[in-house]
Amino acid sequence: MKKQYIITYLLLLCILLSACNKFLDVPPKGKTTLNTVNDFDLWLGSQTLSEISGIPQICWMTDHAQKIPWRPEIIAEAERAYTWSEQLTDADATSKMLSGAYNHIYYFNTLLENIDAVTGNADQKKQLKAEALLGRANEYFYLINLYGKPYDPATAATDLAVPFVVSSDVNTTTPARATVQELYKYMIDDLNTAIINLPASNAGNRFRGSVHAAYSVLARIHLYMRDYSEAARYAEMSLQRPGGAVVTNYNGVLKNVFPRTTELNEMIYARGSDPTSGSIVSIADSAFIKSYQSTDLRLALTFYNGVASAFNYNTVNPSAGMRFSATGNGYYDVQVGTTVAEMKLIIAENAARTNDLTAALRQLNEIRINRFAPANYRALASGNQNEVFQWVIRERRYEMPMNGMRWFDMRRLDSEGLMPAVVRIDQSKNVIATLQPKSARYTLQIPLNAIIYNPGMPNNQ
Amino acid sequence: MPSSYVPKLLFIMKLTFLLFFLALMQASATTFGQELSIKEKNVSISKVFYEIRKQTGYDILHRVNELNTNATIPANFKNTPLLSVLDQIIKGKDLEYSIENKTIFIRKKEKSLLQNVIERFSQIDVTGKIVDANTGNPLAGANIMVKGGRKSTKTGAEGNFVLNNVDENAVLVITYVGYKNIEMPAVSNLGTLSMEMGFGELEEVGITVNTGYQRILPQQVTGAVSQIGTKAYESRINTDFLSGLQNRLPGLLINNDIQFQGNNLFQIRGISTMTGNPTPLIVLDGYPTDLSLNDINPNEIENVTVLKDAAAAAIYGVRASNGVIIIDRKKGVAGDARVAFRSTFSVRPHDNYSKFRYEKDGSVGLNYFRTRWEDGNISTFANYRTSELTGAQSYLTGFASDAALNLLIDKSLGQLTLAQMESGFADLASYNNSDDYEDYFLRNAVTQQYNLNVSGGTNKALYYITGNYLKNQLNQRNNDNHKIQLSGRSNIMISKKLSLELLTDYNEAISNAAPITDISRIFADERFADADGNALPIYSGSTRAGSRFTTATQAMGYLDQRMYPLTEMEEVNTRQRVADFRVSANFKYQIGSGLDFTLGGIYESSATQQRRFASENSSLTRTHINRFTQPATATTAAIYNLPRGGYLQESQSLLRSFTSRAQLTYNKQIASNHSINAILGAEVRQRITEGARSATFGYNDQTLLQQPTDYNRLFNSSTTFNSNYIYNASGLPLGYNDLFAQQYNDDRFVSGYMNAVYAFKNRYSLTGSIRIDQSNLFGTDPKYRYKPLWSLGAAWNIDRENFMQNVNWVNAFKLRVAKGFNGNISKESLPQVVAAYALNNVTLPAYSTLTLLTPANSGLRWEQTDNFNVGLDYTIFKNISGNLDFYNKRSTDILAKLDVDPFKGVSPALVNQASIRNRGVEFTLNADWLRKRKLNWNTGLVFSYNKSKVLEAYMPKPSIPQFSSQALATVSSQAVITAAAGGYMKGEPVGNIYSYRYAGVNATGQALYFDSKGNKTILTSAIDEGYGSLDSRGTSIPATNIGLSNRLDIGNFYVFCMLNYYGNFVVRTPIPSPVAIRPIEGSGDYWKKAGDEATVSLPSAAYINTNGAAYLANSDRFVMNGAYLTLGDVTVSYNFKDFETMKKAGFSNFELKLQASNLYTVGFNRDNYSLATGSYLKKYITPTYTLGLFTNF
Repeated sequence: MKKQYIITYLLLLCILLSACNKFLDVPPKGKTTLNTVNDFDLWLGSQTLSEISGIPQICWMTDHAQKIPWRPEIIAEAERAYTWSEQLTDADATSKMLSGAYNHIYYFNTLLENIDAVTGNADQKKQLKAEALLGRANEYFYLINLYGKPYDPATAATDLAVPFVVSSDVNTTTPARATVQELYKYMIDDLNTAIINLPASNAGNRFRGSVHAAYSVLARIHLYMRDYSEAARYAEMSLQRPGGAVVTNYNGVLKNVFPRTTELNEMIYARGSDPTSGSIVSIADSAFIKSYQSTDLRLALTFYNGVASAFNYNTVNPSAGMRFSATGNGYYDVQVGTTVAEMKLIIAENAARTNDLTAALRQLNEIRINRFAPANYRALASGNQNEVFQWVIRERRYEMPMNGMRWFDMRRLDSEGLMPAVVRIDQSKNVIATLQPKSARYTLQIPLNAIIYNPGMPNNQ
Repeated sequence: MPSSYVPKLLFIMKLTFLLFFLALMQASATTFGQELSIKEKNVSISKVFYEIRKQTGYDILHRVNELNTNATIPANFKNTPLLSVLDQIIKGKDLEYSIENKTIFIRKKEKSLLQNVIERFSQIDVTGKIVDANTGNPLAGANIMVKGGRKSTKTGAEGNFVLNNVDENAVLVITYVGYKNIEMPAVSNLGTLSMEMGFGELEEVGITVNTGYQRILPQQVTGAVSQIGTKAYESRINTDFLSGLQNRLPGLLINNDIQFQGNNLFQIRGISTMTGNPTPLIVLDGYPTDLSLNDINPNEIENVTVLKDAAAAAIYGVRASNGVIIIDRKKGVAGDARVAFRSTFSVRPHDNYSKFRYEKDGSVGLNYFRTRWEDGNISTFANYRTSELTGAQSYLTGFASDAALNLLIDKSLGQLTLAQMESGFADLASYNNSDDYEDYFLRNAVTQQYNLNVSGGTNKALYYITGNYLKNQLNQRNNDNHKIQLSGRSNIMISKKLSLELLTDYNEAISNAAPITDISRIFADERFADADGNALPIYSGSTRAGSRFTTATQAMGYLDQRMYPLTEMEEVNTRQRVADFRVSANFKYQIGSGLDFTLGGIYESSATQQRRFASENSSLTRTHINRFTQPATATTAAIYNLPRGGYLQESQSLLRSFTSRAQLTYNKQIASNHSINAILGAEVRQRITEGARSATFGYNDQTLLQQPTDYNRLFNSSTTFNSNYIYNASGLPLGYNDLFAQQYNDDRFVSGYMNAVYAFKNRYSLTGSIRIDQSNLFGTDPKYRYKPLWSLGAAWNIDRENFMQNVNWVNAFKLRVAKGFNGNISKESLPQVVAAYALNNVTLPAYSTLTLLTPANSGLRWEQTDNFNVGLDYTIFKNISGNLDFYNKRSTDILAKLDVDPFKGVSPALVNQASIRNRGVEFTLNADWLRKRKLNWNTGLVFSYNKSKVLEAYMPKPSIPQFSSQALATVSSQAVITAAAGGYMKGEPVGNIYSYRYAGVNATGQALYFDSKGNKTILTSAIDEGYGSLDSRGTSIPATNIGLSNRLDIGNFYVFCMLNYYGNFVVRTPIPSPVAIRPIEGSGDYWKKAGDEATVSLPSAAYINTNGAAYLANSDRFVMNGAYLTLGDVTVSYNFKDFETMKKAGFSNFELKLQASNLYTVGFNRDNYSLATGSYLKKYITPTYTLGLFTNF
């Protein structure tokens, strides 16, 4: 039999097969695996990382929210948050507050785990890793303040927060819940590591990291650890940024533009609200709205009137003329990230607490002068420490009514015994829920759908 | 007309003349008047002849050996006419006589000229000689047979043969052990034919099993294979390819009445994937095709083979999990050109809504609507009324037409008295627009098809050229499509060893679609045109808005965006053009000693262009314009950010794919007892799809001009447009990505495969196959690229054993067992993170970013199906055959989007975790109950039963003990319903349906349901037992399907009839809700006041409106047995080929078929609802009538 034929054909087959690998190695279009430093740069630009998840739910828990008419037959996540239920979601439902944050952490972990293996400039790698550490710490900041007890140095070593996940492989085991102490240490260490390699400025894109962005997150972290002087120190440092500590003057700012974050220089580390978080509007408490000075420009810019709504009318009684904030409607409505004003408020709070009233009032007035028409502006002046302190807290509420910080403020004020009971009433003035001082409900339970996958995981009270 | 027909035609003319002449002659013979008288009891014929000569003077001549003149006949002749005497003499004998010039000739009867003529046309005697192609030596003992018939002969010692009386259209098959078969049309002198050595096709003709890669003798097949040939396929008239296979092949489920996950059922042996493609792989003329099934011309089917288990299909590797359908199209046969022309014409009447299950009483919906606003929601109504009047928002979606709403508003504004309003409502209730709807929007659907093909050639070069034109006028006006298909196939012997098969196809399909609002979305009291025939708006569709709202918004500069159905169908047109091209070439080189080398490939391309134009007069365009309009204020005019004018959306998609294949085939008989049929090959395959979409505004289709549009302002600016003026703005596809998009996809595969069949003594056979597929899908790690898929099978032909030789009634009895693995792919996940490019719109300017598409999954694998099959093939009593198969398919590692631990950050993620089992039985019976020369009765029975079970999949989690005190901790029954809608619930069959246990109505009009303890409860999110509130009702996919076909042939006539049964499944039916736009029968039977609960069957309208969708619609009251039976087809056919006029006209075949499809159906449930009607609302089935002409000449 003609052996040479067979050999020839087998040879042909071999040549064909060896050509295969080249044939198969084509990059698909429109999508890619992360192969270069530039890929990771684009990766950090992802829109989802520009947003914080679960903001509407957090807002529903605050004393800024009001849900009237109350419809007892509708009990969804927003209603449960509004009445401080133990669990806000069913076993089969996803909690955006938790899963959204961990999704963003997944992005950062993917970068941190894989960037060393790809080709590219070593300095750029370091910078991107630093940005990822900053972004990850910022997400854990929200998680620790939702699922961990308010920071108390006496119990922080035993209070449980959330698992500190550092892997991006779906097949790895989830670590146990870190303690509040541990998690704060991880976050602060990560930020300190990051600062060395972060760029000096993020003026081109305020959603990206910078040294000053890291300082502002450190300021927030220390504020909620109630280490006010350290918080103020970092706040001061964050304001030493190129471009300065300018507070945007709201005179002439159009509602349609506000607070189009990239256009406002007052953003230090910009973040928007994740529009996929669920409940898209938070209706503002009418008493809170009334407490604004009617000439305060923030009132008109932050809140929508109920009738001329762009929103789902099923959730809003169009005749009630009520104000609400579109916390879930995304980037252009709510400023979730750190701002110059917030840093100034942190400085002011520390000053007020240490009875440096002049410094405190200066910070407050530097903000307020930009929040009123010149004709309506009156500088604050007082020699009463408590009055100034209350002004600081009030300005925090006016400046950041619907970005989630109020809930965290309520937690720390409650730890200091400064938070009265919060009462929810329905349209007939019946009390439907009360958040008592020192209530366990100030700390959320880990959602059921997370507990199901981690059967041994202890939950909060 | 081919030249060979010209002499034949002349010949016919001559004969006609001759026949006419003879007829005249016979007429003269009848005037012959001689008489004879003989009176004797028995007289010998010689005596009679003597008397004739004596009495009449006529001589008689005859051949001695033809007539025994000593025989006697009874003679009682008295003046008997001579002809009668002669008749008596030849009576009962094969003789005839003639009279010429006083001489009577008696001779052996010859066939009448007419008979001769007919037989000369249809029957020929074939002669020829068979020799070996290489040596030229005559082959003695070669078998020559008529294909599909019984006539056969063998060659003599010198290789010569004669085969008498062969139908001239017959195809001869010449076979000789060790040589390749020859197939050719019968001609009287075939001359010398050369047969070539080869082992490929020494089997009986027409019953080899084609796996697409090789042909295997049926007795050697170990896998589950079903086949249908031309005769059975063409028993009915097929206007599309798939309908001809419906219920003809066991295990193949084709059902267009039932959908699973939005697709019509088209599957083999159940569903074994979740995210992959669940349909079978289609192999056309040897290569998998990526083109649409519509490209397969039903007139071209030679046979269709279905490969169902691993032994049969493993050779197709990772795409074979769902089985393989192999289509062989007709090929040319050597000989004179043959022409076939076919034409079909079918009509399907439009729907008759007066026979639908719609509520006849027009006041049911109106009454509900009135009670709703008048009794319950006066204050809300006032708010809504105000916002509608001021144009603030179009809220009024209160389940009534604009006219009904206006009556209420007019009354509330004091513009109508109560009596006027009452009479207004009475007027509305008395009108029903269903007749008008039929007149304005519907027509009878008509399908016309013309098919012409020419084939022929010599043994060295064969050709087959065909053209097909199909035109469809659909039931909805302004909706139609047409299609042209051209195909050429040739087979060329380049040299004695090298042959080339070349196939090309071109298909072009063009369709026009115009929007016709479905009647279910139109209130029954709405009119489509006023008395003058001007179009009127209706109050439904995506831009529902009332007349008052429109008046108010028009004052602000908005356009009238209401839907005018009569205008819309003229002003909006979607035109789609699909051009498909396919070419394949196969070189085959015979190396010798049973070894062949094949090198071939196929290239396919498909280009789809879609063009949707909506003029400015359409509701569609106006709504788009309004969407981006800034309304006029006291001082400024309205700003139209979208230019006024037409809206044009164009999209195109392009598919290109090629497969090339190199294959060695070894087919040899070793000694007398062993035979091997093996293949070894490699395949490279690439498939590229790309697409693009773009939109143009302010476009004028006449001037071809378009206005510039500021997209930045529309989509990227800070300006928010107020969507209050756009009812259901979210339903408008007008995001930036809807207008502009690009898409590109490149899949590549490299595969190596081997298959071997070893047979011993023709009794036992073993098969084995292995295939390795690599693709570019799974990144670079070989661990994920290589996945060998294999199969092993064995068959035992019991009937060939010695002990069976005395069992005469068993002709074939084969047992086969096979096991192996098929694969399936889903390209949605990789072991690394896959990121997609996306714009980040948060920042200004929007810039490109990468966003997570699928997370890293280090455990990713191919899906695979472990396939086990036991089968039995039988032929008993010569005329009954069939098979019986049992299978167990276990698909594991199925990729499914499952919830994963939320701490991992990527839930839900695609993971290889799901698993599905399919088990089933298939049975076929094919019986020729009668098989006479002109009479044949054939029955085909196909029975399939498939039972699926999802072994592992996502399930809503039941309660966890530590939270059992909380109602929240229990999974809600609603979550179970939602999850079940996905189709895969652990422990249940695929497509399982859950239902609540309906327990009637309580005193406040709320629906009650039985809880797990049998108590009647109200269901709310707080009162809910999760799984405990529900019953599992079984699958929504028919588990049993039966097809029964009968065909009775009487001569040239046949009747064919097909019965289909689908059973063992459940179906959901809609709630008769008064809230519906067009309420269905029984909608009035709801709770209205206390006390009604004793008599009515439905809860209050308020309950239906709020909880109806969640609970009532999912209750067991609206789940019923879906089993149904249809009389699918009745086809009658007569072939006029034996009519002389047809022969004169040159037709060798002239068949007229008449078919009625979907004649009758019955549903085996309470409502006699059969899914074959297409909708629960439809009580009857609409038949399709088809007339077909099938000719050959």
